[in-house]
Amino acid sequence: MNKIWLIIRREFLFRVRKRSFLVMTILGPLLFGALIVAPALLSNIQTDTRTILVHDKAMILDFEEGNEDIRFVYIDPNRYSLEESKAMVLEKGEYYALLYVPTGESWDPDFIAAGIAMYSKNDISLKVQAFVESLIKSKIQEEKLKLLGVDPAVVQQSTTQVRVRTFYLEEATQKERQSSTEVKFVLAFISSLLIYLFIFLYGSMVMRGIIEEKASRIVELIITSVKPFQLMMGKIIGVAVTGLLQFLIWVVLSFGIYVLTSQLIFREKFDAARVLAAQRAELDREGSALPMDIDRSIEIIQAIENINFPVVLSLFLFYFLFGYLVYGALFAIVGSTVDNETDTQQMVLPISVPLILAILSMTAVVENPDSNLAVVLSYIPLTSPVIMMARIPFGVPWWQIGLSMVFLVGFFVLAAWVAGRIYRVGILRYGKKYNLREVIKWFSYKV
Amino acid sequence: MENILEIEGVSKAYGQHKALSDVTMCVRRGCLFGLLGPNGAGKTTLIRIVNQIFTADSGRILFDGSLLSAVHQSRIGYLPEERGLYRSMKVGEQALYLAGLKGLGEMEAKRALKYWFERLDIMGWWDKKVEELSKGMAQKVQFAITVLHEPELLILDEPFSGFDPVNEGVIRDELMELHRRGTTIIFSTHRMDTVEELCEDIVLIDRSKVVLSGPLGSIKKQFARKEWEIVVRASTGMDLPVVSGYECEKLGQPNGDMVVRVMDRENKGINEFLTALLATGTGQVQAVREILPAMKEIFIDVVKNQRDE
Repeated sequence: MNKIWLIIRREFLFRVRKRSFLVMTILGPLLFGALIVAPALLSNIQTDTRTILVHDKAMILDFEEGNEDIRFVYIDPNRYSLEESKAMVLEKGEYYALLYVPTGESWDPDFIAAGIAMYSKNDISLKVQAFVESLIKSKIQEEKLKLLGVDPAVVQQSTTQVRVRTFYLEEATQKERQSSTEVKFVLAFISSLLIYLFIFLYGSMVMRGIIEEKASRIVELIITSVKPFQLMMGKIIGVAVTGLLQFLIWVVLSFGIYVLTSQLIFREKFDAARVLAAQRAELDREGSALPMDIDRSIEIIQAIENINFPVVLSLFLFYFLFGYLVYGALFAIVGSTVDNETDTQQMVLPISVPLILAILSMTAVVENPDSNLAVVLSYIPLTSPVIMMARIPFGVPWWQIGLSMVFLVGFFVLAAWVAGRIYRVGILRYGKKYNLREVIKWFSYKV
Repeated sequence: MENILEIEGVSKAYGQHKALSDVTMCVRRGCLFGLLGPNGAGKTTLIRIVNQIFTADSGRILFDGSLLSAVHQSRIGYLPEERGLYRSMKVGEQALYLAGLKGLGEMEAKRALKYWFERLDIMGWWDKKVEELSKGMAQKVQFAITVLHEPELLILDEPFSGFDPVNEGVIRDELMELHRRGTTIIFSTHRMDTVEELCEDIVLIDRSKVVLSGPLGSIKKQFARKEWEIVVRASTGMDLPVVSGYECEKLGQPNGDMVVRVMDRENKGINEFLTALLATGTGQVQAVREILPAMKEIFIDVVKNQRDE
């Protein structure tokens, strides 16, 4: 027992002292934080207003001014021809594009709409195109309604802004919580992707470590002091401790970044979210409706704060740890069967297949977390870590989680035993490539 | 207990291939022991069984009188033929780790390591990584690691390979010092000069079986070809007596002394020939010596005979 502790300590210290560990540990959450914060930041930044020159003889746009991103500038369609207008866009840098609305003999709006075109030096962004299209569409609709004798004021009144808020009912507390499927989607994707990445990252670390010991021949010296199984488990556990430490640092740093950004950058929105939550609680009690125009980001912040992070996090840790342990044992088998890293391909493939299968079916599982496929895959130990993390944000019955955990732990014990038997033979074999059938035979060898 | 190691009827097979069949041998405590045999004879398998890397299919092994088990691992030091250390780990740290696995406490290990590093003059490499060392330097570190925990039994597989003559001498001196202090050393080697020079007892294994064992001296006698070398100082030329059952051959006359090889065909001993030689009255007999075969010749002879049978 003392000896396995020494092995774990060496594996841990050796890896933690590497510069790559430090870099990964610090850059990980920064990159991750950036990935989450950047889009929000970008949407906050005022993009340059684009000026679009409008040549509108038909007066379809009715001197509309645009929005905060797009500004329309009108030129006199009687003074300038289309060609002259195009030249203006080309010569003057200030114009993003030219919007040309033609006229014909007919004032039929459909006929006019068919001839509308935009000209620009570069590709026109989808956003601008969509805005212009929807604007023209509504203007033409208005025009048609007018022709049919409908008062524009009536049209204005007949439109309603709809936003459906979603709640989930919590059995335990009898409370309603604001939920956001988008936030759960993101959480499910990120956590199952992380499990997948971690298993590959740390699993291959075990494999490389074993190959290193084999290639440097130190393994023969070590197993005169400890049992091969102790050496293998020491390495697997040592890497696990490294991985857990790295992950915990990531969690702490990410939480720090979250708190920091919530205090500094998005402070107003976070405060607004809290005030709103209080108001909403008040209003819910009174049974009255809510103000309509709620900022989307405030809703997301509320949904994030409503996630039960301690539960998700501890389940994540469990599935990360045991998922890694199962695959760590399988990667140990691969490591023991080869002499150098270039020969691993053929042997890594069989153990990558279930993992890749899991990540491929993850999208389907996230869209339908209670489907038969999802339930079955979350019982199979080789896929359950990835699949369970994709399901957990949406809520999984406790007995399913329990059963899947029991299977996973049981399978780990089995995998470690099998791996140990193959490993003790493999580490002393050199110079030949062994195929899967030979490797399986080692299991029953007497050493 | 007189024997530190007793191997009794040990057999080991890998599938159809027999690596060891019914091997029995003893290693006396404090002995310098040679384990010889051609490639693939089963030496490495035997060493691995003693090191408890493998277990024997049958037979038993006694270490210091009790059945070999994990508790004995800390009393054995092993230098495998294929040397190896963690390449990107520092020398000192690595040695402490391996000593720890052998059961040494941290303080103890540090003290022993300092002693050996100073003795071998490699103290300056403590914080170097193994990959920064030359092959010979790494070998020295490995030797220190092998003896660090003061094993009672040292098993050295080709201990001098990879050393330059100076360092080979250093290691040889250290081994002799350990021998004086009572350490039992098993050499597994192909280098017969090492065997002639160092070993007291030997075992020769060929194709999984022990084919020869015993003290080096008596084995050599056993393989003696009944040949004698006689040195005679004769100022003028000399006549060799003709004695039936003996054949003579003049080998030369370095610095005036005549060297004669005498072959004792009827296994009578040299006395009868010497009497006849003295009776001729020519010259002074300076030396009479039995020509013993070199270990190399015995090795080749035995292995060849085995193959012929």
